[in-house]
Amino acid sequence: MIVSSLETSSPETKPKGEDKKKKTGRKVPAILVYAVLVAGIFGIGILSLKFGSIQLSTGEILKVLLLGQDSLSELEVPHSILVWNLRLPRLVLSMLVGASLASAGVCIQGLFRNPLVEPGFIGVSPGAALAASTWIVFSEKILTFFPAELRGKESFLLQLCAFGGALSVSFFLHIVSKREGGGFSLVLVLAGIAVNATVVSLLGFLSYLADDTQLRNLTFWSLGSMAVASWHKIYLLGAVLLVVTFFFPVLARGLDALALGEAEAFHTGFKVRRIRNLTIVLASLLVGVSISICGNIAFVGLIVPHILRMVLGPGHRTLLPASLFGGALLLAIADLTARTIAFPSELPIGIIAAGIGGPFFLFLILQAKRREGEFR
Amino acid sequence: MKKIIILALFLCLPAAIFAEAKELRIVTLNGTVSEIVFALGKGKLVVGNDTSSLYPPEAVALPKVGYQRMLSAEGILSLKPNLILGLEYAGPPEVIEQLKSAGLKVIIYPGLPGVEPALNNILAIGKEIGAEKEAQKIVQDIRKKHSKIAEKVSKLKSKPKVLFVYHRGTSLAQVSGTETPADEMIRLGGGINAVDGFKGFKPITPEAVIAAQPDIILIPSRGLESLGGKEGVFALPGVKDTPAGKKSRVVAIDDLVLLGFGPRLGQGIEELFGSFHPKTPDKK
Repeated sequence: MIVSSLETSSPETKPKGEDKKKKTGRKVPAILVYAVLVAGIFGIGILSLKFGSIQLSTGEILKVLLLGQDSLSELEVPHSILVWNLRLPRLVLSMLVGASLASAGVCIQGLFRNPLVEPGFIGVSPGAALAASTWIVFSEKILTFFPAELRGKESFLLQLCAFGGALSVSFFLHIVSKREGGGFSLVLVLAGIAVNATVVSLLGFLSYLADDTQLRNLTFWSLGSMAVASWHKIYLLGAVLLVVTFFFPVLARGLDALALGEAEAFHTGFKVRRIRNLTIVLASLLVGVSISICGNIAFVGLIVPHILRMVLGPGHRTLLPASLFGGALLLAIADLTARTIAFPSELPIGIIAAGIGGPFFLFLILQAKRREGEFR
Repeated sequence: MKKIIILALFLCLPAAIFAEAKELRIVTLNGTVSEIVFALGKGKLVVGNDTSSLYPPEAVALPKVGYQRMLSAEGILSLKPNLILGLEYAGPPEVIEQLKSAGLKVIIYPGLPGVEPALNNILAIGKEIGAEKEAQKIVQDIRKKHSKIAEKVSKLKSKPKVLFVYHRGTSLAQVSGTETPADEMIRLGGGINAVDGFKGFKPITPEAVIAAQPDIILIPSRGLESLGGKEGVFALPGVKDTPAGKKSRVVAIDDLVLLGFGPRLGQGIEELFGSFHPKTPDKK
């Protein structure tokens, strides 16, 4: 069983920025990992605020952020605008989205007791994107009696629909792949592939019905971008993430119990069904709101928990918060890359995430295969 | 606090003094807008444009700020523009807002296909960049050509059915329904759109093509190139079995001339009429 093998695997790869001291034994102290991740987030944060249309010095950034002092840049654009309106929203949003997706990844992997699943991969994210797209296309055509601010792309109902889409797919997969004893379920992966295929075809059908403007909104979803960052969106996702983190202790205990197996969890006094439902709702909430804000970004929920599991071991008490930071770090790096690599144009962040994530996923599968001999 | 205000005022001083004499630095976010600015003789003021700016050749060489619907605020800022011109397709909307919040002058013109909206855009842009005379001249020229052809079209006894095919690279070929620039141009050139069952573009199906019975296949030049010439057009499903296929009538016209509704609109209408009606019917 892959899950059990993960518990005994020694850390072979180390996350970026991990110090060179090779730890003997199975785990790196959690506190050290947190420290490295937080330091990395601060480092990338400074770099993100530095680079762009014009390079700001660290001193200039600190002046704007901490002292509220402002001056004009060579571009005749005040530094405060560059930092507060253009760079900080992107940085914060990418961190929030990364944190949300990575945490949701941990939840879904724990729920299905399979470290190789990921919200995008089994159809949860596409489900959210489909629901959001359906809302975009139909809210303006059918719900004409709604006030204008409740229709279309700017309405909070969009987030609600995306959440609903993610939730439906998660529950569906959960029902389909439920097995006595749990563990690696081939049914889950197959069902995920089926869901994905269905979603792709439905999205195709939607794009056939959509008018030009709506069509652009739909294509935006398939690629993902942080260019749409605004403080309003940050508050929305930030609030959702904050609410979910309150449940982390409960989730961690529950997911750890689930890892033992359904029956064992039940005997240790856990209300298994309640934990499962809570996990599904919270993970869907994170995925739905993230995706409805900035489009479909895959693989974050897979890479981050994986690397951290190698370093920290499989305990959710440390894995969940560490993934939160790790996801934030990874997407902040991805967004910085997306907006600087082809300057003055920008690449969709989804392309970068998938470009790193695809090969990495293959590597994981091959590694699992080496350890297991074969998938059973 | 006082010091800061005084410092800020000092910083504004040079800007205030040179405000009158300051050269425009324009970024254009759309192929048609780029073409208009160049046609008005102000091409040297353009410091950057989007990937759809394919004419004139000088416009192609300028720094690219990306595809007009996936712009990046910082990328545009880095070119130090003081005027940004685009059509309503420019986006995402958040990026346009960010540019405005950075104190830049951003003007977005309507992008409706049609002779009058096109002429209004040319005049408005001319006024904005101080080339009103040139704009008037271009507009008069288009009006003259348009009314000449419109008169000829009104005397036509029969109009050919035209199927507009849009094709890019490996993507599926699509045909144009109603309410598209292509539909409007077919009408202006004295043809009838062979497809009127839907709005916008839809993927091509062999039965639909045969049912439409087009006399002419109309295709932008770039689309023709990506299909590998006329043979490629006839290889599309169903095209061979239409009157256009049997008489091998394919009309290819430069993308921006055909669909841009820009300064070469008059030329586009003339070219279309000429290819739709090779022998002008005798006036009786």
